[in-house]
Amino acid sequence: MKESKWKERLLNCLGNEIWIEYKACLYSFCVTVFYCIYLVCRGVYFASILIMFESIILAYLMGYMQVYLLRDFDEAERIGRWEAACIVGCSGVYTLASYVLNWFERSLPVTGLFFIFMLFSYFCVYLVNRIRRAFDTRNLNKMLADFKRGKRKKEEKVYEGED
Amino acid sequence: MKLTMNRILQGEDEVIIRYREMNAQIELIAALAEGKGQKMGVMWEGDTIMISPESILYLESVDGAVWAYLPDKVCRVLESLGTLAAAWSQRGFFRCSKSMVINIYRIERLKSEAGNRIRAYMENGEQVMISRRYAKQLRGILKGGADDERE
Repeated sequence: MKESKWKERLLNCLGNEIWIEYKACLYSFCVTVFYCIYLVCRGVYFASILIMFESIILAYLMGYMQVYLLRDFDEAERIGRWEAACIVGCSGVYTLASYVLNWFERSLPVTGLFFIFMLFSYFCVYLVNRIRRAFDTRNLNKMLADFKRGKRKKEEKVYEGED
Repeated sequence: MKLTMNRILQGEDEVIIRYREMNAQIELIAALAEGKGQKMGVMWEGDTIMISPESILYLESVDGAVWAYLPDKVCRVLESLGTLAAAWSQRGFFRCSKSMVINIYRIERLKSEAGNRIRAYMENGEQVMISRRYAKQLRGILKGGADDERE
């Protein structure tokens, strides 16, 4: 009994960890995209490994915060006050980190643009998640209908099997 | 209806139904042959009544007691949730949490929720949240049904 409880907890933790990995990859990719656009616009074609590493670590920490403290707000059904506050707050944390860690030469206009870009990214992720769930719901209901129909067909097959 | 019965000396017992048109009588015979006609005894308002497992929407364990939710009543079941889930898995019963077993055939619709969870809307309007772990199993079962359909 104790063992199965442990196993269940471990499986839950692993599930959350995979979810955090997914979020970390998603948001660190968003940061990388903005960082690369910023470099290309300045005519620089080399990216700092350190900055990319920092963005990944930050995205991981934010992922943990999102899943364990902020009720997974980018997976919400609709954007309410809480979700909006979380989007602004998390974008603010990324922006602050970019300024402190000197990702964009501490340029205020670029930092401001980065804040807007992160707001947009969070909103896009929210929309993508919503669309993904809508597709999944449609697929689930189709599978449910097929499952129910499958039972009837199987019965028919049994009846029609031998002649 | 002509009844033919042959005694065999070896092999598995088999029921072959030959019919022109499907009707209630044939359906009943088929259900009995598959063991679906079996009813179970449950407690309802102090009496023991016989119900068909197919009429159950879901089973829930509350403080050690197992309750069967039917469209119009809630009955006490004497068997454990684990026993029922195992015995009726082929009849569409699925363990969706530690304390609940739902009848897939009595689900009205499903909704995908955040974190890969699934919300099941039962025929009586009740909503059952299926956690990520059990949702994966449900997807597998439904997919199995869909595969059967394609075969």
